[in-house]
Amino acid sequence: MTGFLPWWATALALGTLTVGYWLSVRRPLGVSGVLARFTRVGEELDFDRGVAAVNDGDQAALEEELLALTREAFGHVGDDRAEAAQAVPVAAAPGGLAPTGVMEPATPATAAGRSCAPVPPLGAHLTFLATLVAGGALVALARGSWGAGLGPDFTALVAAGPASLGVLAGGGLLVGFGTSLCGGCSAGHGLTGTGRLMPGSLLSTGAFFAAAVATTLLLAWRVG
Amino acid sequence: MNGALRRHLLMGAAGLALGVTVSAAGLSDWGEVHRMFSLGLGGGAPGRESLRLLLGFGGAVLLAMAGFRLLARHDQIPVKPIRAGTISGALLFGAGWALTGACPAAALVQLGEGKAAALATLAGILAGAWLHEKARRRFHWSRHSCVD
Repeated sequence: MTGFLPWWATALALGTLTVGYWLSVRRPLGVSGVLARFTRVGEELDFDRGVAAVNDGDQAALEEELLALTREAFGHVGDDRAEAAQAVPVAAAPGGLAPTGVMEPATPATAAGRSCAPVPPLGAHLTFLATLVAGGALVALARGSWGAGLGPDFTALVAAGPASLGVLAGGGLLVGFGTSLCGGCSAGHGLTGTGRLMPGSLLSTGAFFAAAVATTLLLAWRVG
Repeated sequence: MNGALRRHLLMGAAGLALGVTVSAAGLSDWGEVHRMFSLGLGGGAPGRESLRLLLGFGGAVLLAMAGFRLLARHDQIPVKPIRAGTISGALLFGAGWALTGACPAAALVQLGEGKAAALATLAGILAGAWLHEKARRRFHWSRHSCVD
């Protein structure tokens, strides 16, 4: 197969994107976490409203959203206002208790460097995912390859026909569960985290690469 | 410019750039991903062509390393420590990536390329993330997925 970018252009584009994404969006580049947000839309929208309330300084709305989030996370919670009020200081920090992830410190811009931006609203992330799809469409249309299958290698080495959909769904399940469990994917761990020498990312990237190589060699060996 | 519009434009530009790159690099091509993980050992033509993506990815990491050091040295980027699920999760992800030929970004790009089978992959990914969230709550695992 030809028609793909040479290695150096791939490296240049991906490397520039990784650093450029941080410098412009001021979030670490990642995809798996964004995708996972869309499996709990209600909760994430509550979170967005909570962030908006913090930004607007709307205390009543903040307590409302906080209570809703707490209920979703822990089941029934008494409608005790004092209970909600107690929890407020924790989340009052912008980007505080994100349903999607880590407790992020509220990081005011300091002389030390640029701070991390709060998680963008779900709508902005939807735009991100939609344009990711559009990018693939653009290249495929330019190549004139739109609507092709996964290719002869896949058919020969994995499965053909309806059975292949089962394999893809099962493999997708591993990707979705695995990236959620290890906290990142090829972008979040592989590019951004490894590029910053984060211990969790280095270990993750080593492990998922090793597992992928082992699985790939097993596929080739199975067919012979 | 209005803040929400600006955010959509920014995220849209980032998504488009990543989508085009992933597709043009062949990271959404099952055969190319398979050759990358074969390390030139498996079937297919050995040599430079099978190492293209490997070198591309490695080069990107080196470039990102240099970029972060030069341009974002003191920036407050969230850290990624080693946690309980780091190894097991990564092993599952690696196996799934090799089978489907798709990391989460590539699954979406494949969909855009008109590869209808990617719908099955994408459904699997969403189901997997949903299942993890259920398990996390059931067994009280701490929450540490990367936000984005």
